[in-house]
Amino acid sequence: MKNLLDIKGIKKHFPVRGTKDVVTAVNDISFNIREGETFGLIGESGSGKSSVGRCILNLISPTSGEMRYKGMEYSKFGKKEAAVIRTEMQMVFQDPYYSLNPRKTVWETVEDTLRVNKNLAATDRKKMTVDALAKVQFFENDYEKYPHQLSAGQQQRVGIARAIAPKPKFIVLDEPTSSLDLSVRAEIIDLLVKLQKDSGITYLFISHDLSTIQFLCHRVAVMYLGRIVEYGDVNEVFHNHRHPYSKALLASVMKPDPKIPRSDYRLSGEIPSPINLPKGCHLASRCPEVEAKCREIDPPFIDVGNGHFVNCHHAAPLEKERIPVTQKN
Amino acid sequence: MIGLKTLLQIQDLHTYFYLRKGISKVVNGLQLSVREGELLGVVGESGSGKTVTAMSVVNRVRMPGKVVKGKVIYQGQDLLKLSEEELRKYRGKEIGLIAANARGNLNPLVKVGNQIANVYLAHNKVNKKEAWEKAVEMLRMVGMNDALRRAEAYPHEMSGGMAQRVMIALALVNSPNLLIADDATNGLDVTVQSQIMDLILDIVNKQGASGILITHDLGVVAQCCSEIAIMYCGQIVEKGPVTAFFDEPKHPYSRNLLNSLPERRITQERIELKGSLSSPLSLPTGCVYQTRCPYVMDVCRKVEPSMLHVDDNYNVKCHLYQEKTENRGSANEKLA
Amino acid sequence: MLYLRDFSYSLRRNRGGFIGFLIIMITLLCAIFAPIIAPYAPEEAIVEDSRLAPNSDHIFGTDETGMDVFSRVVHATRIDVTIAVFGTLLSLLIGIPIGLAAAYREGLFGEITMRIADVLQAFPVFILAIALVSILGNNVQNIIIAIAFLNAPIYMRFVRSEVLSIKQRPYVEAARCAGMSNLKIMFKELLPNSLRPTMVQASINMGWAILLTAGLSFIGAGVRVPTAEWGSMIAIGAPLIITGQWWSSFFPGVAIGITVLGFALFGDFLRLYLDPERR
Repeated sequence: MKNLLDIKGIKKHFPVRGTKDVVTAVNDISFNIREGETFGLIGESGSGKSSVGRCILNLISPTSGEMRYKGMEYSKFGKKEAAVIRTEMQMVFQDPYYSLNPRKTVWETVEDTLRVNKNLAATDRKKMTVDALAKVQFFENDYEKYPHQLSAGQQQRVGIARAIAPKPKFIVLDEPTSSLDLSVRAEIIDLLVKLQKDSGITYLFISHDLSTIQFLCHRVAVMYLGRIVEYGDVNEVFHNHRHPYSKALLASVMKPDPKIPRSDYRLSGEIPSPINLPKGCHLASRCPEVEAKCREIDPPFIDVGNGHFVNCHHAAPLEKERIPVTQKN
Repeated sequence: MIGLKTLLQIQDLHTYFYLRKGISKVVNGLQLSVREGELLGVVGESGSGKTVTAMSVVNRVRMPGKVVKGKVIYQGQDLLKLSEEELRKYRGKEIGLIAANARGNLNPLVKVGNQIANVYLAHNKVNKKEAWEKAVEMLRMVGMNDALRRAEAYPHEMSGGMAQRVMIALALVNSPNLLIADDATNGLDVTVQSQIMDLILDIVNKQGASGILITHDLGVVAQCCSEIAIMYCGQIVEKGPVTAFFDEPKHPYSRNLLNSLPERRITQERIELKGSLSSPLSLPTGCVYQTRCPYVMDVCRKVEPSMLHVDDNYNVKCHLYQEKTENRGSANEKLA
Repeated sequence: MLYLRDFSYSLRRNRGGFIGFLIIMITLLCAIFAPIIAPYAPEEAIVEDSRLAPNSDHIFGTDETGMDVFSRVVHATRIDVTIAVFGTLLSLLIGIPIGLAAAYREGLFGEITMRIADVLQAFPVFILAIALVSILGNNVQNIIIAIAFLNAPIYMRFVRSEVLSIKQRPYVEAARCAGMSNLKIMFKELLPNSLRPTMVQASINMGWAILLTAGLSFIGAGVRVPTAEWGSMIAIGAPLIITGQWWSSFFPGVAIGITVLGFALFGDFLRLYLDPERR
């Protein structure tokens, strides 16, 4: 499968107001997304997963690094070229209510996204709006409704319609189901799966909801404090995880089945502040398997086979040599 | 561990909100009981009336809301009949409440140690110094390293997980017999959620208290509780032991809820939900789930089902089981 | 047409707003039809009729120089309402775009505009108004400019703080995702959602503007004396109150009070009416 996106060593620093400190939200991240797949980005709050999504869409510009879309380095594109890529990459947001302009109707919300393309004739634009809304089960009698008249699930479907209206190739889904009830969540997930089946859209699914990630994604990356700590095929990462953070994260998930006993693998303490991070492994202060070298040396990416990479000193390598991930793939 | 004595019994509770748009029947006819030493999980989606139920139990519903009918019997005493003065003896002492959004529920201008100490002072004959020491001890118990320094901190200096721990310390300082946790881990990261639940379980077990965990997370209930109750439109529609429930949920709503779980959907098809949620402003006569139920019958639109006893300790509020209670087995065939 | 029907429906259901709207309408009608309503010309002085108590010929009485108080109160709406409306409009025109830009482009530009606003607002409004009018010269046009100048920082702040909070909303991000230009985002996404507090304040400020005009005229820094204006009428009548001729100050005072109340009530109604969730 061809790579749609190649992300190489992106970093994002945010200055802290009034001080010389910087928050390292994204710290040297590399991965690729294949055409037609759903790539999952797992992480807790403060892991920088949302910043990664926004960097990719150029909503915030990365401090350094390379981003390629279909092989083209697009982060330094001029206005015209950027506009073309804009329509091919869209985003769906977490909070369905706040992601809609309260003074725009359902129809206006979707149609205004298309107005940006000046080459589009009014009739085509109307037709594309009808299509996009029909795909999310919105029909004529709901077009004139305002966001506050819709349920959370309906609001999120409008958000999805807005994203798919320009017929994008790639959508960043930033926790699109996290604030929804269970049954509504299932409905939205089904919709996303159906859209992907019908038009082959590629997704980047950002979430802390591990069970949804497991259900929806083909490949996943686990993030901790701005770094990817483990990445690979979804089944590999969920059933054969090697990184202590992934272990603790997956152990913390409470399975809705009383017969599966809770694991007692826990991290101590809480996520440290992303200001002035210490050297060595970022998990060192909480890791139950910590050794002296973890506090000194940045762990390498270790290939454990099946396209599965772990960023930890303790992961047993596939072969003797250690291969940095940026050179693979 | 679980005693046979009932600690808390809620009978036919109705809590209405009098709004300009009409009367919103947020809780209507809720029946629930908690036995001594039991940890009950109450599961419901947003708008099902979970939080209002918790507020009704400690009689803290304020205008425009009002408990219009029902009894909340705690150790033989109807809490709804007590005056504000008498209630104070129960709140914070007999019944501890952990609310969601910990930071919003802590006073931002008072050191957390003092907030805990004040609750302790209110119910015990101790001096300020002893109360402060108790507060520090509590913070240590809820797993705060460096409790002495933390007691001096203000809520805004704490992370969400820390603030939630303070809330738990606050709820537990007087060793309550009943702990009500209203979405206590909502919005916290999974690793923190797991730590908080460990803590609640540990304390409930150690103190031999009972607990009600109100949540929308079926995972939390499956892993932590012994009993489960499913709430829909202000009513309990199903209640039973956790293991039996997750093996085979009875109520059509519960079935749909479990079918929505991504974990279950890897192996099973989801049945699409039709219709919309009944509005608490205009509830239909008969069963509250009739608008969405795939097995809806004529009787469901006319008669409200009663809580049927289908198995040991297992109750379900659904007409499908009417026959089962008389003639076991036939209802399951219908559902298959 | 639909908007109009919606507006009148909401108005009828809000008693305060309805009264406010009624007062504003009556004031406007008085301003437009002043010559028809008023029985005398506003500056027609009949010396032998001076200081008459309210009677059937002069229902509000006459003042020191024998001018009919009722006619003058009615005619004064012309000047006071003109100053209030144009002063407020002008200050909105200045304040809104600057506030919008200051919030959208934070950093140096935002900082500088805010500090200028701070300086302007640090002066007592009335003193600054006197200074401005005495520099520019006291005529209606300059009072309008003074009012616009004094109120603009208020609207600027309102718009800026609203935009700053809305700017972070995902729907603004979604607009940028769609590739909308900065101008379009500012005027289509940010501005309509940040105008509510400003519009409410504008209505209340109309009342303030009238008070300010009256105040300036009262001390002689506003509209010049023979011209019918509420503030100057109170000033002329003030010395007479001691001798018992209360009417020539009282009625313009009441007119100011009622008009200010009307704008305040209407502003309160706007607060509810402009809520997007009301629809």
